[in-house]
Amino acid sequence: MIGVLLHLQARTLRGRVVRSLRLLRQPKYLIGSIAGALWMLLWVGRPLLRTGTHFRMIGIDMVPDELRTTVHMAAATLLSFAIVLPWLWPWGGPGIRLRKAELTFLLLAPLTRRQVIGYGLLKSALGTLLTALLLGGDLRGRLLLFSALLPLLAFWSLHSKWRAMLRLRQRGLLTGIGATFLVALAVLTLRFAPQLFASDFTQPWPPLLRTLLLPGRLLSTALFAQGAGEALLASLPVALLAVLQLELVLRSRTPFEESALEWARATEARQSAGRQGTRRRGGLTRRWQVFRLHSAGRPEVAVLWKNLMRVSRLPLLRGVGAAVALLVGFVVLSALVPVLVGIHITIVIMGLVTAGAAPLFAGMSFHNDLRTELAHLELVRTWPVPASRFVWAQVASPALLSTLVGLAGLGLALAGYLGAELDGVSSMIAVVPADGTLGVSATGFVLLGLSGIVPLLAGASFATSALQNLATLFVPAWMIQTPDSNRGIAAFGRNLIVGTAMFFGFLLAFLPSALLVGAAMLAQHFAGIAWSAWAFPLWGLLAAAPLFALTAVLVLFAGRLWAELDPSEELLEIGR
Amino acid sequence: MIEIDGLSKRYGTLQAVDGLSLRVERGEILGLVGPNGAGKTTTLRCVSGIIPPTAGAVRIGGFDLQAEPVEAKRRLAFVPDEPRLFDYLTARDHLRITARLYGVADGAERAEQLLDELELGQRKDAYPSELSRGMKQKLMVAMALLHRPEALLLDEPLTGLDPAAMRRMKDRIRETAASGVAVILSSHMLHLVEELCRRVAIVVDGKKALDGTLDEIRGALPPGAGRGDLESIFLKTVGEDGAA
Repeated sequence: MIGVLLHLQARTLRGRVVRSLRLLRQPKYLIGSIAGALWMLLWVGRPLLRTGTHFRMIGIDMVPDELRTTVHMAAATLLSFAIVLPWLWPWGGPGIRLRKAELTFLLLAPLTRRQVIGYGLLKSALGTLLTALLLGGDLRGRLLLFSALLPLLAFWSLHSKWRAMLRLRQRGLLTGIGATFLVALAVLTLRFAPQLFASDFTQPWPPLLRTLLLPGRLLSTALFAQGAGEALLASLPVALLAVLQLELVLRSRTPFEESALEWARATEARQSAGRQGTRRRGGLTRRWQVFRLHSAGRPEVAVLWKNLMRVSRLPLLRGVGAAVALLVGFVVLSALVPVLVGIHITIVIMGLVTAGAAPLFAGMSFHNDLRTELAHLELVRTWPVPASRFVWAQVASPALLSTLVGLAGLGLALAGYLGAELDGVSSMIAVVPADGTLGVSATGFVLLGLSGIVPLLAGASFATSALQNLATLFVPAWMIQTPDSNRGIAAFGRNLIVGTAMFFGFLLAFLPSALLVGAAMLAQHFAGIAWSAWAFPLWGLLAAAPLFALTAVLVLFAGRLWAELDPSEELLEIGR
Repeated sequence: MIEIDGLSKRYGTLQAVDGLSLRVERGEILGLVGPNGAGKTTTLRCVSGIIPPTAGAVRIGGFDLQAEPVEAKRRLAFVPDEPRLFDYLTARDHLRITARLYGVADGAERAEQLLDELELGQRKDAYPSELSRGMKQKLMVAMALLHRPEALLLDEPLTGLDPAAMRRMKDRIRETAASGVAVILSSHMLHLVEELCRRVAIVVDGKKALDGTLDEIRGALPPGAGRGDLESIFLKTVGEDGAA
């Protein structure tokens, strides 16, 4: 029977490969694949193909002899925590993770329980093998490390599954044992660590600690072995443990079927519905709307409304109000209760990072644009919305949210600064002198600087979102977001290609903005106009203008692609 | 109201629809039947504007679907065989968005009315994952009827409905047609097609094999070519009656 299951797995894989190859009949996919393959060869493959003696093991030869035992014991400690700590975790998925369709098929088929579990393990074995290969490197230079890693990773994977299956019925007892072990290990390690550091790592490890770490040392010995013979010998017990663990999983009597089905259902629902689709809401929140949608008006606003609802039903104005209230509250609190300057600095940095990242990841963050819309082609293609306006709504949906998140980031940075100002420590944050510069006070400088970022933030959000939606229409089969679209190695490679292309696209999109602002600054310099912080908002507008222009052009172009899109082969027939 | 002229659709080397021409008048229900893979769903997808045809033209209410897609789609509604709803919108939300997309002035009132009529009144705030297959199908029908379309395309509309709901759905389709809507109904349930449709088109291998009223079709067949009901005519046409 296992032959039939292997055949099923092989046919599924073949189907995916054939589906991917069929797309290559279209030149755009073929060119993209070739470019992606070359890129991967250049940047990913080349380092892997390099061979050298220093890659042969994990790097233990670079560790001084006197530290070798300490490093091994430290690794054993980490490994012990990594293996035992999850036993204390009360949540988690089922040990056997299969898709709903697979589970339905397998549970109905005349198969023994052992065979069903075996099939589940077989599916995850490929991942273990690949991880060992990637970590261990290519077969020419690092075969030894691969052979040491494989039994360890196999044991780890099987142990995780066994743990997940056992947790379903014996949580209390095992949690108790695990907790006792970890507490003992933590206490002994913390007591010994100062002595170890004080003795320059020469202090011998206490016998009790060595005993507790015995399983971890046994599992990791192969990684620290010197020479092929020693490494292979050290791998043998781990391999035997993995076989024993495999047998324990296969013989497990835990009823995993229900939890596996529930997990498969929840996973598919989450992947198709987005982050808020699977949550159960009360009667009040499910009546919320991001904004009130009237029957009359421009139809594309309905698309925008729908896409915003995919992320959250929280009314926009209420959300903005709550964010403003929180920030004001923080500033007031800072005035009343002085806090450490480090907290202000952290808040300012967090705000600026958020503001910088939000527009760059506009398209990727919210999954509420054409990529998810393509899964509903049979509905949305019948809507009477002009193509360019439909695309505009798709672009605006993530862009609007990204702009709001970016603004929240700027607000956070401002709140952090104002809080520091009220605490009298703003001079430690601001990069400008306390008495101001460029014709304004320090606070004025910060305010004008942040206001200059606002249009740039919005422009960048719209441009990146437009680029992503254009890419979606150009190579829809690679961009569509469905429960099945991100599975497998092909999807990994495809995401890598698309991600790289998008990255370079984003860089190019920002080039005109940089040139325009640079030109304005040069003109100001040559005209002899004094530098002033009041120019910041103008520079922001100048930087944003090409981005908005680019967005408009991309939307028009994407609109034409949407109008002419023939999704029959890519999406309706083979993309599902 | 619905005019299909020489419609063809090719997927790679497969000719899914080959020069199909049909015409459906106001108030008429045309039954579109054929074996699996005959091209029925592809035809409906082309007529609803989901996929462009390789050749031929489709006009809805006089508007060419390729040249004036917005005007044509405004008059059209399509209920696919599989209800693909948005998981994150409630039943009421689906009607809200439909009302806005089609500019239905009395959208809110009509939505309430349709939800009640289709027995979804108690499930207005339910998400699709909380609805049965039949309820989702009813919601799709409510969305299709909300903007009072002039042309309605139904692909297996009774799938997932219980007998009582089937009866009500059939009545609803009849009433819709009686109000002047041109309806194309694609189904494998031949008794349903025979019961509801005045005209029937049998499609085989993407081509129209027969088109007309049941009496006209019977007349076109050689004498003694079957019992005379749609099922025997269909089997005779597709060559699977065992007597061919």
